[in-house]
Amino acid sequence: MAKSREEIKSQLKDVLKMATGSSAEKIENCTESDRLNEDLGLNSVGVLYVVIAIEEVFEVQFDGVGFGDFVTVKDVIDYIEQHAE
Amino acid sequence: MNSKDKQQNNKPKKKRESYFMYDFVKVTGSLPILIWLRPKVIYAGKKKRGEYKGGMLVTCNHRGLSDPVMALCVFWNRRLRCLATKDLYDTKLKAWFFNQMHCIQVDKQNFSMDSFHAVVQNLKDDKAVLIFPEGQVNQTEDMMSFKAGAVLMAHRADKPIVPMYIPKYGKWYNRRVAVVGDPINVREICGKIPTMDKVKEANEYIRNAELKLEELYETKYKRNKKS
Repeated sequence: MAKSREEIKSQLKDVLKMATGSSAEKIENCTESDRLNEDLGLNSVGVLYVVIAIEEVFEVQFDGVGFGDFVTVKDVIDYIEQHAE
Repeated sequence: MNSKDKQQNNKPKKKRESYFMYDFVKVTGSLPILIWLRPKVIYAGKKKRGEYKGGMLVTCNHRGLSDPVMALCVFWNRRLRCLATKDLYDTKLKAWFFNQMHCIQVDKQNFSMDSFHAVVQNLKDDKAVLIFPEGQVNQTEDMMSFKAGAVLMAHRADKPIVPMYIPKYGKWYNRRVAVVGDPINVREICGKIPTMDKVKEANEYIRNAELKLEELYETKYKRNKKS
């Protein structure tokens, strides 16, 4: 059964918390319009970590996409929603 | 035809990879390389020449464009795959050549997950992959910080990282040296499900392993050379 947008967002927050480590509060209060790099402080390795974790948690394969395609939290949620089985 | 045969026929056949060009370049290039570079390989760990088997991610500091050649000299018995930046694929001929050399294309500006999956798949298929975690040719004296992507790749494939150190090149006619350490199991440092802090810790561990190789070279081998 496909996950709801809220479920995806909640699980994504857990992943983001693991990726950013110290700024858990910032992640908890983040919105869909927050940018991964500038607002959440994820560097390129952080984004790679998030993508790998998403592949594991949501069983989604990130094929044919670059990191530049994911600017905000919304972009990531949209991708998961479209590709999760 | 029984059901087992049918199942086997339904499996997608893996395209057989051609190594003709790769081996041709390796064999024909070996003589000039041996004469010009005269590579000296120091195995600093327990493992010796020819004992590095199975999937492994070789991480090396980046001194110059001949580093991949040095890595080929170190792991002579392996077909090493290098990561090559997308800029190198700018003409059809170059793209063909790098594909024949089984390089894995990486877009530095907009890193694609396809590159990541290609590296992980190669490692899972017991291939050896070479990566320069500094991310660029280092023009300074000190080793630069490492990007943790290598740790994530090795962790995902569950294969070890082999640290390799190349000292700064001297004159063009000087002998080239490479120091290789023992494989490092990343999952032993990070755990099965790593946090970002653990990944950073493992990344620092790999860098320290290379700094130890540098220290070993500076104290033991370079001193011997002078005396």
